[in-house]
Amino acid sequence: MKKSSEKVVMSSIIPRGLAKKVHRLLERHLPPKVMDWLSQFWIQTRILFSRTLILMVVAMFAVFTWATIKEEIYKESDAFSFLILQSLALAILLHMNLWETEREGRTFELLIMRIPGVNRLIWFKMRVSLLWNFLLLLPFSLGFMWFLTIPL
Amino acid sequence: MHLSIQNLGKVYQDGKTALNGFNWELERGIYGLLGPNGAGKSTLLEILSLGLMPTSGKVLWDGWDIQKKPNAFRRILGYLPQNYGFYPELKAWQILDYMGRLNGLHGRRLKRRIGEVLEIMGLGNDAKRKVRTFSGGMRQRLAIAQSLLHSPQILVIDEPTTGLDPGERVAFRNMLFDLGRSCVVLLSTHIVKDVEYSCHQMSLLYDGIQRFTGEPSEFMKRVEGRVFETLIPFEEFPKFSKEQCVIAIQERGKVVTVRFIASNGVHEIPGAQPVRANVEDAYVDFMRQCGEEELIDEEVV
Repeated sequence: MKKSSEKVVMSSIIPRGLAKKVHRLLERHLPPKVMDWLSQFWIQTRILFSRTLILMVVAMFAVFTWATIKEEIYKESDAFSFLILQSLALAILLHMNLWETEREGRTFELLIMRIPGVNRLIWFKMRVSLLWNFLLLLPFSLGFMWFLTIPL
Repeated sequence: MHLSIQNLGKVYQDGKTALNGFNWELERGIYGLLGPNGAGKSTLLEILSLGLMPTSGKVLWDGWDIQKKPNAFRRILGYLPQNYGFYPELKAWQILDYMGRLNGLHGRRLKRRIGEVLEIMGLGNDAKRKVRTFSGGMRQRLAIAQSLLHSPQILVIDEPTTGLDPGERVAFRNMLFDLGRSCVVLLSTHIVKDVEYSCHQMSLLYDGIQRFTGEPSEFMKRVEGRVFETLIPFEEFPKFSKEQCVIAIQERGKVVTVRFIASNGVHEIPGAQPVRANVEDAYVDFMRQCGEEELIDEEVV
């Protein structure tokens, strides 16, 4: 029986075999260094994004969008403040989940042998969550830029 | 393939001496490191795995200092720490792929090594299973597999059999035997039987000081002819246990079978049958002696 506390990771929402096919295709055409980076990025993304986290991120975006509409924001400064607040909330959510997953996984001891230096190890882990932070906020930032162009 | 530990010492910032003048010469084979908690085993392993800097002495691998060429040493070192874990939602091969790439392996070579280490560890059929479905023994084997990915020449393992069932422990010892033929394996453990059955040399640490280094059979000599078994009435046991060093006790109705080490100088106990000593007997005797020495030191102070 499945325990309720178990995390369901992203792999379960991706069609079976698709990831494998893409992986093979990339491995055939990309240089090993790039492939290493992509592979590590993919694995860490899977570790980072549990189904719970995806739901939380979606819920957070929904709440912020709803709040923006309800508050009838039309000032640039207010919209910017909302965007900053959303960025911070997302960053906190992603990084809390990242370190929580690491704490549960207890892989630091195994990784430190391969990535000597705590600072390098922290950067190795954080760059993935930072990149996702950036990617997820990109549509909102573009939306904000578009918002700035609307003559009010 | 030669690891030379020369006069190694570690004093922590709070002034505690964790390791004091440790020497050992290791070549291909399995070496056991024994000692109670806080004896300095983990400190020694952390120095060997470059996690700690020694305050004195050095470690040489084939003549070169490992602290001066840490990256070169990391390439030939496989390390399995005591406290490690895996992401439970990843499959075994994914974990090995992740670790292997960090070790600098790529493409076909990585795939081949993943297949090889999984086969060596008897996990060939479980490569596509998620780690959360693995038993304790399987996780341990996967942990060893990740440390073997880059074909290390020296393998340092900290408390590997803790939490394994007897069957898994035997399987683990057999696997170690195979590894010991191709590289230097240094095994730190509390479980004396693991050392007795798998190591061809052992070193005993107590309070940061190296108390014995040699073959397990040599270590056993300290209690040879002093280990006995006898039957005594149950009510006499408390008095008996104060006089002799009891190793094991088994209740049989109104009597108990006691395995014990006779005190130094006593070689005949009426009614007791001498039995073959093992490393565990010698270890218990050694610990008792250390305890007595400490008591004497305290009294002198």
